Order: sequence, then C-alpha cells, then structure tokens
Amino acid sequence: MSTLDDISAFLQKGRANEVAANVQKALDEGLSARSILEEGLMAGMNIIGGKFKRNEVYVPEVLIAARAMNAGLVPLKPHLVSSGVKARGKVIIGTVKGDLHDIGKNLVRMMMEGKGLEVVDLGVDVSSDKFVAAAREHKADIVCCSALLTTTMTEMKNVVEGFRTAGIREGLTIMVGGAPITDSFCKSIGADIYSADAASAADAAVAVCDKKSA
Amino acid sequence: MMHSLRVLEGKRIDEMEVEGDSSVLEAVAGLEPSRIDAPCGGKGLCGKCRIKLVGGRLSAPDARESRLLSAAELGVGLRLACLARVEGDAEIELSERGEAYIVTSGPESSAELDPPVRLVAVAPRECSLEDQSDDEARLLEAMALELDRQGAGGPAPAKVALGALQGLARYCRGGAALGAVIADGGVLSVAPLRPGARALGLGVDLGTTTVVCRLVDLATGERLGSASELNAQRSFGADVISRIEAASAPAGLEALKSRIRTQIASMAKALAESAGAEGADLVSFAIAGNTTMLHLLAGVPPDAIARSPFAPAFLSRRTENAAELGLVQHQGCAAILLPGVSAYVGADIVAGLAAIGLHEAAGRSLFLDLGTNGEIAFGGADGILCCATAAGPAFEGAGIAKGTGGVVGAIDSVWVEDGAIRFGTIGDAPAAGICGSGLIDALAAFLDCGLVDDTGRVVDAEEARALPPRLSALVGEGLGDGSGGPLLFLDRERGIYISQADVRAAQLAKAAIAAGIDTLLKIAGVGSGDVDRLYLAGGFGSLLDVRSAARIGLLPPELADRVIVVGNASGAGAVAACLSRSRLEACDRARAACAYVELSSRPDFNEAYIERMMFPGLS
Repeated sequence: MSTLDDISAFLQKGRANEVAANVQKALDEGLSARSILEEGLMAGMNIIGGKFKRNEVYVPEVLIAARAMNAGLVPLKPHLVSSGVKARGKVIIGTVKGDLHDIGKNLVRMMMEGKGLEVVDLGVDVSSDKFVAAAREHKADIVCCSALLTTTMTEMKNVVEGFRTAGIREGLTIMVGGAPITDSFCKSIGADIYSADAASAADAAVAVCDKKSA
Repeated sequence: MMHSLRVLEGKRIDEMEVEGDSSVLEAVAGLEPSRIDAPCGGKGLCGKCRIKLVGGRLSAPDARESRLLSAAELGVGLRLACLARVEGDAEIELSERGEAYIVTSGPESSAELDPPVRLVAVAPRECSLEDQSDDEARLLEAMALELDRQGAGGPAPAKVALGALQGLARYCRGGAALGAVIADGGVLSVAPLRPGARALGLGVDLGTTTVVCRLVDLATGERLGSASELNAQRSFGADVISRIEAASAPAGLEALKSRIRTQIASMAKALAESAGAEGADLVSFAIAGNTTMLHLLAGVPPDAIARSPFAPAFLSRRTENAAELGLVQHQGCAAILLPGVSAYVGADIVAGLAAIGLHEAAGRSLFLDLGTNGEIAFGGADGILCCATAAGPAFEGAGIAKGTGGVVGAIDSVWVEDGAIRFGTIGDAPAAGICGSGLIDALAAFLDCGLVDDTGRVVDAEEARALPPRLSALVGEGLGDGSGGPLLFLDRERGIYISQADVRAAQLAKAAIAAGIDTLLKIAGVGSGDVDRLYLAGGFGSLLDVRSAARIGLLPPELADRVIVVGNASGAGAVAACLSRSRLEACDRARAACAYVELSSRPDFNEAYIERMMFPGLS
C-alpha cells in the first residue's frame, strides 16, 4: 500500500497520530502537498462521507475522522501555502438565532473541510446581521444556515432578507439544512439549496464553487 | 366543494361533511376524542397516521406518501391521514386502537391530612337590628371557630373573595348552614350546604403523551379512583415543540387549550360519578404538568419556550378558579398549578421530586424521567442540579420504522435464550410493533449476539454468514431505497424488524440521556459510582429493563442494582398536594432547591453526547 493509501485508511479509522506521521512520511518521500491533501486526506474523508450517507458509520466516526484529518493538516499546511494550493471556496456556516443545536452544523462543516473548502463557523444562535457581516468580511461564496426546530427555521427567512437588504444577495449562494427543513421550504424563503445530509451538503457546495471558478 | 366522509372505528361510525382538499387528518380533527395519532404533527414525516380507505376515493399518493408506505400497503388501501386529501366522497377505517398501557400508580406517602383547599360547613350567626355587622365578618368569625374546633393548623381565612360575595349576600341569612370553600387564606365560594356534599380533590399528571387523574376524598384522605387517557392534543404532534408550533397557528392555541380542558373536565366528572359523588363535589385540582402543557391549559402562548433563551410566561405555583379554567361548571373549586423550574424542567418533575422527597434526602440521588424529553435531577438535601435533554421520540416508538407506543401487541421485552433471540408482547398478543423498552432490550440482545457492533453498525451479509444460522437468519436486506440500511427481524412473518436507521435513532436518544447524566455528575464533581440511588420515574421507566439499559449505555452500569422504580411520581406529588398543605409547600421547596443547568450551550455536554453515541464494548 502506498503512503497515500495509508493516510486514507488511518483517517477512516480516526487514528490521528498515524495520519500525522504518514503525512510527514509522504512529504519526506517527496510527494506534493496537493496530492497528499487530495489523494490522502480528502480521499479518506470522502469514503467516510459516503458511508455516513448510507448509515454505515455514524456521527462519532465522522467526528473522529475529521479530528484525524485536522491532525494531518498540521504538518501539511505550510507546504500547501508555499505551493500555492488554495481552498476551493469559502463558506460561512452557523445555526440560526434562537437555536442552539450544534452537532448537525459541525458535521456539515467537517464534510466541507474534507472536500477542501475553507469554512468559517459562526457557532450557534447566529443573528441575520452576523451572517451578513461575516459574509462581507470573508468574501464568502456560500452561506449555510442550520436549524433543528420548526420554531426557529422561520429565522432562515430573515437571513435571506438580511442579505437582500444589505444588497449582497447577488452572486451569493445560500444553503439551508436541518431536521425540519425541506426543499419546498428552501424555495419558499428564497434560499438556493437544501441538502438532506452533511455529505450531500458538501457535494453541493463543491459543485457551486467549482462552477464559479470554472 | 363539500364531500361526505364516513369514518369507521370498530362499531362506531361518524359521518361528516368535509371541505374539498382538506387532508383526512384535518377533516377528522373535530371528532372527540381525537382519533388519529400524528406524532410528527401532520407534516408527512413519520408515517404513523395510517388509515384505511375502504370506499370512495382520496387524492392519489404523492412522492412522500409512496416513500412512507410500501406498494403492498398502498395496495390494500392504507394511506397516511396527513397527506391523503379528500377529493370526493370517501369511507375510511381507523384501526381500532390498542389499549394504551399507562402507569398510574406512584410512590404513596403518608402525609397528614391537611388539605390546602377545603370545604367547611358553617352556620354564621344571624344579624339583627342591634347587630348590623356585615355578612363577611360573621362568616369569617364562624369559620375561625369551626376551624379551631377541627384543630386545623394555619391562620383562618381573612377575607371573602370578590367572586364569592354574591353567594354570601344571597345565602348568609337566617342562620342557614353554608358550605364555604377556602383556599390560600381566603373564602372562594359560599353556597347553601348541599345534603350529602363531599369535598373531593383531583391530582392531575398532565403529560405530553398521557393524562392521569387520581381522585381523593379530602375529608378522609381515601383514594377513590384513577383514570388515564392519552393526551387529546396528540393529533397536533407527539412532542412539546410540535404542540408549540401548532399553538402559534391561527386559532391553534384556542384549539389546544379547549382540547385539554375538555379532556380533564370529563375525566374529573366521570371519576367523581363513579365514586358515587357528583362533579360539584370537586373542590380542588392540583395539576403537575410540564411547562408547555401548563401554558396550553392556561391558554397562554408558549412560543418563547421553543426559542433561546427559553423564557416561559410563568413558573410559580398559582391558584386559579377551576371554573374559569373550564375544568368544572360550579364555583368554589380551586385549580392549583404546581410550580416549575424552567421551560424544560416543569411542575411534573418538581412534583415528582417532592413526592420522593429528594430535596430532603440524605446522600446522593439521581432522578430520571424518560420520555421525549429526558429530565434529569441530581442531588439531595444540599441542593439539586437539574437539566432536560432532547432524547427525541425514539423510546416512545416514533421515528422507529416499526415503532409503537406501549399498546397491546407491542414487543416490550427481548432476550437471548439458547443462542436465539426471543421476545414477549404486551398482553401476549401477536407482535404489532416495538415499544421503547422492547427497542432497548433488542439492542442489548443484538449487541450481545454480535448482530450490531459497538459503533452501532448492523452486520453485513458476509459477517452474518459467520454467525450461527438462527442469528444470521434474522438479518434482512434493506428496503427499496436503502435509506434504512440492513434490517434485523424480530418477527419475520409479521414484518417486525429494527433497521439500521432505527439503531442510529436509538443511539442519539440514549446518548442524550447518558450525556445529561455525565454532565450533571461532572458539575457536581462525583462519579457515577458515588450515586447512592437512581430513581426511575414515568411509564417508560417502569417498563425498562435496567440491565438492558445499562448494556446499551443508557444508564451507568454501576447503578443497575441501585435503581428504585417510582412509577408515576408526578401524579403522586399532585395527589399529595391536594391532601396536604405541607406536601404542597414541599413542591415549592423542591423547586427552590433546584438549580437548572442549560445543556445545549455547554461544550462538555456536546462532547459527552458524541462520546455516548457509541455502545459500550463487551465487558
């Protein structure tokens, strides 16, 4: 097995130390930072994402794998910067105002990071103004809103309105998700994309960013 | 355009005219008692509101309905009431509801008889030209003498309430014998003393799922009877969040309010009559309900409960006129709403803690009330920490493919015997579904047999082949779209199984409870081995097999032999509050002892939650 395969395999098992060690080993072998990222770390996260979608692995495994991925990124980061590897796109994510649910949103963030997107996590109970300010500051491509309660999902409409009022709705993709959200709700509030699970959300976000940069 | 809809249920037939394009669920919403369970609140998500079309027609099934029902089920006319719309005249059949199994009994207490609301028979002296003192003064004077004669503790009433002055003016004449109801240091009502009048109290455990009423004689303390029903609001959704959402729809609050008021009123009247008394003999209600249920009963908008920072409109104990709350027809009956701690630790928990006396107990006690929301309290005489954790409805059967409540035919126990998996059902009836305790037992058995690994993954076909045939025979292919993952059959003939997705739902539910326990113990700075006793309250707690719960990591294994099952503790607390002022005040003291911990914003809770999603490895 190649070192890249080892990185992917250890990542899927959530073995943070082994992932970091093998990333270092791959660097020592002279492999490019981009291929280590894409064919090692991201390949492993992709497999986890697919299994998660099919219910074969669950939240804990995804979180452990994501932790291992972050451990692998530590030795890799300086090389990615020096070789000019850029993030595929920039995403702002948060759980809407009045809602304190964290985990679903974190899964989406990790899946997106696993696909090579740069994600700014605003946390939970995030007001419309905060979403707008962060999107402006970071020049985001995508804004992702999460809500787990039927009573807080209506807040997403305020977020969409907030971007419209601020005059930066054009060219920005707004994604929504969470247990009570449906595609028809997404359309009714004027958001762009609804995803049913974290892995699909990451796929959709990548498609948006790749289309933009193409 | 109006259509006619015939609704058959057992021997009962209802016919109604229905506005075209209403869903079947909306159409039958007016029927009393409410007839169709809709755990997700009629949003087309859970697939539980099944009805059978036996004549005429309904709208063609849409994509969602076709996903939630199999082709075979649709073929025999099964439909979902929330999605199927009335498009012409139709005849539908509701499945006869299995008898719900509701735990009504709780910890009994031997409190001294000293009811906070009581009926006092008095005969105030007559007035005269020489003594023109007012009716109120003469009544209060007679009352003080009578209470003193009875040796009742506490101060005698100091005033007659405005609403009772009319009765006073009318009846306080000529030395007639009067029946006066007193509460909270005042006289609530004055009326001629009816021959054979009794003073009855009703303790109410007002739950999101069930309503349990217990009738007591306030003069003797005798328990006269109890009744339990499923909450009549349940067609608006199974959990408090869907009820709150329903209440914020136009006319929603009014509908929810009148549903529950009507239900409690009719339960109260029926109980009084079956005890040989009449509705007018009721002088008090003590109501223990979660904060949302009490808001809905009072007709107060509960929406702030569902949004951070979760501030309810009221929490303190209050005494209201039961007639104004629509619970009785007559004046002179008080409804005491018991106090709650927070939006999610309500009066039901406080009443339960008071019934057990946890706020006065020596040592360290853990108290669990498991339902859609799991409420957890930890502590003793030095103070109590409490929290609520969103376990979701998996343990009540919702969100589980073959899940059901605790009804006849529900698989409620599963065990391993001679290397095979066996099960039992409520009432020994043919298996019709799986209830919460059955789900937990089944998971424990699957883990022990290697059908599910400690990450919660169901074995694949290849791994199954390595197991003994009687186990591998249980593993089935996933359904059509594969979303549910592989299946583990408990009863293949009747199509009762647990899917991979069901295992995941149970993992979330048990992790929420276990992480809540972890967090409270961590804040208190003790380990689970340091806990002296674990009280399990609520219907689910009574049915739960503690060993199975420990096996799947729902409860700390160290506590398996320190469990005390207390049944309906909140109902017991409510009854005690009717019978004894000191027990009513114990609710206030228990509430004051509670410090609420908000889990959702705590990083340590979130960490524990994720950690607890795994199953414990084989020990």
